[in-house]
Amino acid sequence: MTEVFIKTIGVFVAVYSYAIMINSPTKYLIWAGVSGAVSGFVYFICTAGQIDVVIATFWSALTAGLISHIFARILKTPVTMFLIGGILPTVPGNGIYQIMHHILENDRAMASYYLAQTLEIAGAIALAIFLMDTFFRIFRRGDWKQDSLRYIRKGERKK
Amino acid sequence: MRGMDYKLLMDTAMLAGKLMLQSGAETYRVEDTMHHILKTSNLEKTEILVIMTGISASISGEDVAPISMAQRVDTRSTNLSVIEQINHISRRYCAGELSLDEAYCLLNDVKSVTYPRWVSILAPTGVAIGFTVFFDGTYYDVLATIIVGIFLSGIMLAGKGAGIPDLILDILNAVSVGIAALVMKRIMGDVMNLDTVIIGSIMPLVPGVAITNAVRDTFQGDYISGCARLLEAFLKAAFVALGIGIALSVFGEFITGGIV
Repeated sequence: MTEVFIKTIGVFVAVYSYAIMINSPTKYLIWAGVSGAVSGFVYFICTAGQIDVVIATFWSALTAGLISHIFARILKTPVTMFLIGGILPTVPGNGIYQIMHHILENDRAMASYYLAQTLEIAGAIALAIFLMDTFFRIFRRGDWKQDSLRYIRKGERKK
Repeated sequence: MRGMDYKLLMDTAMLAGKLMLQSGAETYRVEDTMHHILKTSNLEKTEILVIMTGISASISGEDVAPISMAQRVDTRSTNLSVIEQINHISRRYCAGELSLDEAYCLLNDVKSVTYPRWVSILAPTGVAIGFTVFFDGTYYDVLATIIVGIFLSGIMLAGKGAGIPDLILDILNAVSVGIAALVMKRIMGDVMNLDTVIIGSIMPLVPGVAITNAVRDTFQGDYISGCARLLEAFLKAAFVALGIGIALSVFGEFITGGIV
């Protein structure tokens, strides 16, 4: 229990700092951190429950997408502000290192195992972001829609 | 809006687009914002083409001579505060709260958020420490990461100041992480887990921004920008790995006496 708590705090600090690195506006730093912390929490719960890393990544990124889109709608700001921080805990830094480590040890089998895993993780992140974007596009409202460019053009053609 | 200054409108849209692209906004967001700004002229034709390295836009109407502009964008970094401010300005302009002149002036005054200097310098250290905790780091690992992180922060600051190209800087940063981690391993011995420290410390360097933008651009149907960003993400990841590899293979034997 304490472990979960400490790790969530850790991710919060990490994502908060990362948000500073990419020059997020000061008032959104906390929210970016929360987005990352929730994503990290889900990732940890999934991996602790013996779920495969790739699937854990998928759920974690999906949660990050959900949280980011909700925050973006509440705070009326671009969704990337929170999404970048949200998916950061799942970005395969571990995979990148393990690939190199095993190449140096001349262990080709493990290197290609981690290469495949890293690519799968990247795919899982992409899929999760895509699903959440699509999901929220169905429920868009207001006059400033994310997809409004194509929306306006469709209207033009009808005239 | 008759009698509008179309040249100024075009300049405004171009400025907004250029700033957003330089700050690392997704391509479709740039197109969308420019489209909204240009649409306030009510002209029949407003076309915008944005790719990662440049913008071109043109407007024309029945009684207005076509105006076209192209803008090459060379420098790209990530600055969400600039994107947020431009988003805010263009929303207010399109809602009619701002006049065109005011919007142009505001866009010219857009400045990046400034943190206290030590905060922006030490931010990578925070990322490294947080992720070391997340990746099962012990107290000793965290202690080592603090030192590695501060070293990395210094190198990143110096690299930015020297104007080294981004990808070379990635290798340099990764090499410095590797070397610093090896030195800490030499000092601390068996209590420190080299893998955890290195994995935590390279997290500030991983291409999180590039991956997010690549996915969002690609699924928006913008394959050119999506591919470009995907390539950026892969190259960054590969170069970080390369840097770690250089550090471990060249200096590993030398610093730790062949533990790695």
